[in-house]
Amino acid sequence: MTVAELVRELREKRRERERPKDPEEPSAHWPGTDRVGHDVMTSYTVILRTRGCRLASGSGCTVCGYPFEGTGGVGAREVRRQLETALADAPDESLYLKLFTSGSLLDEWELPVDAQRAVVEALRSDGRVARLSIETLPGFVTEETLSRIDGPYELEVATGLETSSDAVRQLCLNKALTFEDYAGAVEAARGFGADVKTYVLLKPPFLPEPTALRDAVRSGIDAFDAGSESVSLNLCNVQRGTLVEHLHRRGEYRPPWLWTAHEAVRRIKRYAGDRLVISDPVASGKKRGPRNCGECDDSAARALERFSLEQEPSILDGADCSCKTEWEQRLLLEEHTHHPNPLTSIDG
Amino acid sequence: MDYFEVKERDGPGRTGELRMGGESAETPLLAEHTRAGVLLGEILLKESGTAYHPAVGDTAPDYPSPLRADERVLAELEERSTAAASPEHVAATVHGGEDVGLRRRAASALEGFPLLILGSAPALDASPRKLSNVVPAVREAARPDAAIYAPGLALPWSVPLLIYAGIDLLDDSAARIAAARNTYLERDRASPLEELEETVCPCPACLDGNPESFEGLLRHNRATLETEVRLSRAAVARGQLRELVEGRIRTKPWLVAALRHLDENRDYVEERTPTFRRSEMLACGEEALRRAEVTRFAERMHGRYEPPDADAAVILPCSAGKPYFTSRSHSKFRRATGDRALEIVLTSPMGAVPRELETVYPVAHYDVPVTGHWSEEEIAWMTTNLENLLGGREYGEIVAHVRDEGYVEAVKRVEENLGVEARYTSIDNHPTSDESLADLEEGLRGFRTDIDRYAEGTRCVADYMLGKGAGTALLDGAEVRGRYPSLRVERDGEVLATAVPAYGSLAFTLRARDVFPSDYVVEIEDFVPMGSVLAPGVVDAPEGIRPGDEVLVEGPSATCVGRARMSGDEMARSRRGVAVDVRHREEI
Repeated sequence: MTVAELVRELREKRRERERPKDPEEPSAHWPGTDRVGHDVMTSYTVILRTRGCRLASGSGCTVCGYPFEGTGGVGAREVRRQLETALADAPDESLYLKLFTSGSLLDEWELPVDAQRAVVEALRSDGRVARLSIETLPGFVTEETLSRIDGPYELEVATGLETSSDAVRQLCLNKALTFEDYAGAVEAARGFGADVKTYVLLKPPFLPEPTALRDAVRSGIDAFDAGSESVSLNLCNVQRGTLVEHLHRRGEYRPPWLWTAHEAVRRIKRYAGDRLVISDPVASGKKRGPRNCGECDDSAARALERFSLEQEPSILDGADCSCKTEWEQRLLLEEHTHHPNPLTSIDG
Repeated sequence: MDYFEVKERDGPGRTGELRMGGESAETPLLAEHTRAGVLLGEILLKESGTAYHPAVGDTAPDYPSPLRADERVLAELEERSTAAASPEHVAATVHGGEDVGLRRRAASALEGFPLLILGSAPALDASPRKLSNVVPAVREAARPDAAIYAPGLALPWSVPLLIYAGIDLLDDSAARIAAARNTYLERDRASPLEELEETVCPCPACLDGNPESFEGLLRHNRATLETEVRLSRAAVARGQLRELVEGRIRTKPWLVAALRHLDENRDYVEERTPTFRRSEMLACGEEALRRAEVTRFAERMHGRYEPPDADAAVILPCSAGKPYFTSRSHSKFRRATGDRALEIVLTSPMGAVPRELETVYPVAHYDVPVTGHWSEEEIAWMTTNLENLLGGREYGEIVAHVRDEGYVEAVKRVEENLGVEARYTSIDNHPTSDESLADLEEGLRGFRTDIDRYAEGTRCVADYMLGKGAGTALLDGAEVRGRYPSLRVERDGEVLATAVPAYGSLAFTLRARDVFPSDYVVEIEDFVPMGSVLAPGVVDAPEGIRPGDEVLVEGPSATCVGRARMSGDEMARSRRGVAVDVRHREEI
């Protein structure tokens, strides 16, 4: 497929400019607060450096700039070092540990089995982790792989469905995955007793705003129907070396409006009932991130964050701005024009 | 039956009738976006959305494409969109981004649809090069009777140019976005409403009070767009869209650039520009020099015009009155020259015009600001055309009866290029002064006086219309009667052709059927046309036919003569519309 070719080329071009990474240093780690069921927990996010996502080694997703985080030579010893470094800064209390790689923690191609075991040992001896969330592609979720990382904590499998439309996932995201794969993984995880958190992506490239909204809402509902306990709405931002960046540079991609994110979250929550719908508006208000008019970006993003913790739709209703009229008009127009309307010369 | 039928053509711009679901709408038109769908006049076009999450509607769901992206991406989305279109829909989207080859591929694959939507049209705004590449490519590859709808592109200042470029339907997207941003649209600008001292517009929304609500501002903004669409529609009907466009593009440099790029795509514009008509041609800017009417005149003159047999040539200034002979200055010149020489009129934007062609369109129809100052481009253009007229033949005397510097400069260049010398008879005096005229007469002393102006004029106009040799064939055994320029050609008491000064052409009768070369013969099916030949009845038509041309129509049951309403290509490929207005017919 031609989109796949381009994604690979853009990535290789960008990769030449990347500095080599230290296999003993984690990519990132930071503390936070997250909603778990009816409670709010102190969370800690750790992004382990691994070989990188297996999909990205072939072609990879049109939106994902994480492949550059990868490095060779990460084995059990290196992973242990990374976790040590990361957890040294973690709060001394019961933790909801969100453990990411820039791919799939359960993929032994990416992280050898002994390294995966080393992770579990490290967490077991650390003792603070009450709930562990690991991110993986659905294809790697089986009873066998899950039992490798089982330990004295609740287990959550976080997986990127992105969209329940196979057409959108294939063409707009170039992500080698079907909804069937995903549904199978949810079943396997639940059979094992793990919770499932599903990532849904708001506004893949090539989708007009109203289609993106519809796609996200549909996907959230489908994820719950498949058995996911929670849905996390990721607002697409422009990451380096991606197809999205290629389009954004040419004025052909606009990250989602925060109003669209509000609307998507509101509608998914209406269906979810007690189940969690969360959204962390990364890079909001930035040129490369989800945004409104510039005036209200901050308050709209804060409302999403508060909603994610409190799950109270009225929080979203509180946010307003005069630019909402323009957003409504753009939704109407893009429904008919199928293109982000720049009308560049309207302002000058 | 859903269809689009073109009515009038004025360059790539045109008026037409779109008929869908029992309703009809006149184009060009401004579509309105509503929750229920897109309103095209009375026609409600229900959107099916994208192929990712399609709904039940009238448009083929597409795979939205960017305008600018790697060509492989554009190709993939174009291919999928085209494949997704199915015959149950009335409109389909032509994708392909900025890639002209892909756009052509899509437009010809979607030829069954009466309405084609220009994909990623919004990104063409303020992109003059892409606009003037993409729109012609789609129009050329689509069937001539497919209406082109460009959503999300129109702004008040760009409307006439977009319609001239070949778009039939525009929409009110800009009115909505501007209203939502509290922006007030005028013909040439967009201003934040709060910065305006007063709203000068007399539309109901502005008169009823300040258009401060979203709805009020939307009404005003839409009226501003709508006005430009209606002005353009009326201009097409009048044959003066180009004049409107040349006036409107002045407010934005990108619009000027877009018109220049369009003119560079000369074949696209020329094929669609009428050859003979009654409207005045106003040459108010430098773009006029590149009008299809102007370049075509020069081209036909170069390829088809055979000057009368004269041993002297006179170069004259143009006159404000048209045709030139009707002016006071030219009647003085004519008295002095006394039909003794080839007469050439220097002028802008036509370049150089031989006396014999002074009545053709647009020589008899143009007007130009005259200041005595000539631009380099104008001088160069006059030089080229004068050189073409004088080259290839030796003249005993070339008299330059011109005084303006620009004229003199053109003549001097031709003298140098051709290695000839001209005799200047009006250097210091006014060309119409007694001394100048006497000098002119003196310059031609001794040259023959037997040029038959009327016959020569008729011969040359016939050649100009149908090609070299047509005039001689027309006049063979015939005589020219009447009062110039209302002449007619008769043979054995029967009329072969009548001059139609208003259109700057000859109207032929069936007696002149042998005069028509195969380049102007339209082949029709087995029927007897009544008032007109419709496009579906045309079997084949030569490519060189232009709207306005005189054509002979031949079929198994009838022979007719008339005026082409569309180009030969359009006749051959259209399913609807009047191809030829029949003047005379004969059953076989």
